[in-house]
Amino acid sequence: MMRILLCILVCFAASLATICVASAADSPDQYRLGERMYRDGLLSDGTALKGYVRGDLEADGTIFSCSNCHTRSGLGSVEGQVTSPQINGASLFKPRYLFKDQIKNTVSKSKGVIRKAPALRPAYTEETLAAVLRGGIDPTGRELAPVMPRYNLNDKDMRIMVEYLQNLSAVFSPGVTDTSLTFATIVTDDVSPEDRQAMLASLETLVTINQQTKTQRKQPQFAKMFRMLDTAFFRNISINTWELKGDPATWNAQLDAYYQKEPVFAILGGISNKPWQPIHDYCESRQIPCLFPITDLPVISNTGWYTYYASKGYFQEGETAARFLNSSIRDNAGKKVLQIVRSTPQGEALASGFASAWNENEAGRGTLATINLGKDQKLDTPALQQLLLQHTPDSVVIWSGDDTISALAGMPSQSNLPQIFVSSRYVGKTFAAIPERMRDKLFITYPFRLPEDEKKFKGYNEFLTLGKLKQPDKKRIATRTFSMIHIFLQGMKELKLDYYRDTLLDVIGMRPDQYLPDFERYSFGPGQRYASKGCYIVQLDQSQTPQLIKRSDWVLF
Amino acid sequence: MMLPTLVKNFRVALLVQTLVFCLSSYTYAEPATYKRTLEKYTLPDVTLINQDGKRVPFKSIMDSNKPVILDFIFGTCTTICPVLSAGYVGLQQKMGENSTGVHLISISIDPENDSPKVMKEYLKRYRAKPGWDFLTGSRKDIDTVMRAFNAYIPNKMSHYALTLIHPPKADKWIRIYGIMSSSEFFSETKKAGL
Repeated sequence: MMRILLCILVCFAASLATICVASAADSPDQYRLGERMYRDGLLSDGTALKGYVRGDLEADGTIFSCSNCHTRSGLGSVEGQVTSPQINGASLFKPRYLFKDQIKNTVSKSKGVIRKAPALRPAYTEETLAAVLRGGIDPTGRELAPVMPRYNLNDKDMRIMVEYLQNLSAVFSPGVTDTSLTFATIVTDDVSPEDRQAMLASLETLVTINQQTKTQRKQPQFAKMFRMLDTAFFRNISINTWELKGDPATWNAQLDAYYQKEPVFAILGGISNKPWQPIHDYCESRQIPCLFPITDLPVISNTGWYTYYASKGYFQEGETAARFLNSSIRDNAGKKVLQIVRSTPQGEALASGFASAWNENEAGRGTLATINLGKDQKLDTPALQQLLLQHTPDSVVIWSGDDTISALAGMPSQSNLPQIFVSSRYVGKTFAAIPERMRDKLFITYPFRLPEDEKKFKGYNEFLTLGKLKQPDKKRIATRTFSMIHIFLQGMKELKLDYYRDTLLDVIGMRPDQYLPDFERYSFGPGQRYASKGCYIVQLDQSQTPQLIKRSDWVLF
Repeated sequence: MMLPTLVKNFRVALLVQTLVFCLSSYTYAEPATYKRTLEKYTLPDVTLINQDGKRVPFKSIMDSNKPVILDFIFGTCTTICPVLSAGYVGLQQKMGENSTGVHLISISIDPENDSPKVMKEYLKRYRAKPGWDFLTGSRKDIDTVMRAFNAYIPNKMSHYALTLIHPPKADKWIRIYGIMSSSEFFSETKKAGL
């Protein structure tokens, strides 16, 4: 009798302990520990998760975490000859089928057929999952690929990991229903009606095309398999326009009000002349993807995850000027560079990029002096001459607007002028005013494909905007929106039926190079968030309507 | 008129994608052992840039009496490169204070993103010791190097595990396809004259 009582007590204590552990594991802290282990390779005690590849090759979790291969959303990846399968909760704890069998079974089910294609492996249980993570043998006895590390995990950490995987990408992200996909775009109140229209017209076309597919969906000639898959694209798409007004400090609250009213899956594009920082921060905090907004003032970050930018904007031009200077004075350390910076977001972004790249070359760089101009302080020829006399630089970098050209045009003809660097985007399209005598001294950062090479992309934006633009797309707003839509559609195709925001970002990150309007290349890579990595240094030729001559490669080091 | 084409071809793309996915599910992973061959290569006359921003004439990597080991990786790579780099880390650990007895070279296959700064951070993350250099360069020069070693891939996301070992003064390279264990890598390096 006592023995039975003891057994009951032990069982009760054991189940109580299980309940305690389970409830602890369900807590937000426990989830974060799992997230840290999965993404950063750190165990619950803060030490590195250790795994072994091919028996004795140590894979330190802090440099080679689960999310490296299986991606942040757990939906897996294919790289070279290695397929890293889906390991999110919805996949692990169900039998795994070949993709074709999964489709076949789904179609059969809809027809009422019971005979199912066999599974590659049964659903994992906590025990079999622990066994495969430690020993690399799955429930069918098959050994995992050698590239998958076998992990040393104690029971406590294993429980954290298993519960994290159970909850990873377990339910679709907000903004998705069985029949609809809701997105938003953002327009701030400093944007002109023409610029606003240049972006919105392309997005409206996307919605129109999506609406046209409603008819196609009803046509019987599409096989059921494809009809099922087509829902990835043929859900009804709607794009809300979130208008942001007033002080950028209030944008966060405005964005939240819009989001609370109707959650969205992602933000497509968006446009502002002001720094993108408040919107970037909102997207990070709410974990909402924001794809390729029209901004030349993006956030420069190594850790930002949710916003994809077309480029680093002004920052990238500044970087390019510094790299060009660094490489040209590499063997001539000690030469003097003067940087004149207008105190505007544009000037400061250019200077920030310049400083970042200037400091890369510790060995050979020259000396740098920086002069800051007030937002409204005039830069005219006498002021420029005075600065040159005072600093006697070998090169001068001027990060200012269209006043730069008139200041330069008034400079007297002299042979000892320094090399002068300016930003094409900040200065604007006024280069024809540069006198011929100055042109061999002037170097311009030019972040786009050169006009003669761009001709083959003519007409792209006209298609999407359907002739709705009353003015030419001089600011490349419609073309950049076109590129965003192109990449977004590729991402949606790759997403298949996995409507997780992190997956959309993951699959875009694995796209091959894209050759689209404006930039030489949009290139991607896991975790990379600035697609165009290049910028030319150009000079003007001596003709009356000066043409641009390349003086550098697209990417400089 | 790229967009309508995209829309029209959507079903074809899905079919192709489905087939590719099925095939990839069958292949599943790289072989469990590695394949070793001896190959003769001619080094191209290009200049690359290392993690310190210094220009390195590529042919100069042969100007040493040490074994030279070379692989192709990129800074944000998720699957193959971390394993290859873990191999370099393991080898340096096994060599202890003599880490410079072998010249380890990683060549970027994502040169547009792999600036000296990115490469330096990568080496720091892997706690690389002296003797391990990461090289980048213009896309054209990197393609030339890949082709010279019969390792060209047009898309970095489809690269594979390849390690090339050059024993001092030898006229041939040891080409290793696949992933070596730590002890196999050390053994191959010893055979190459460590």
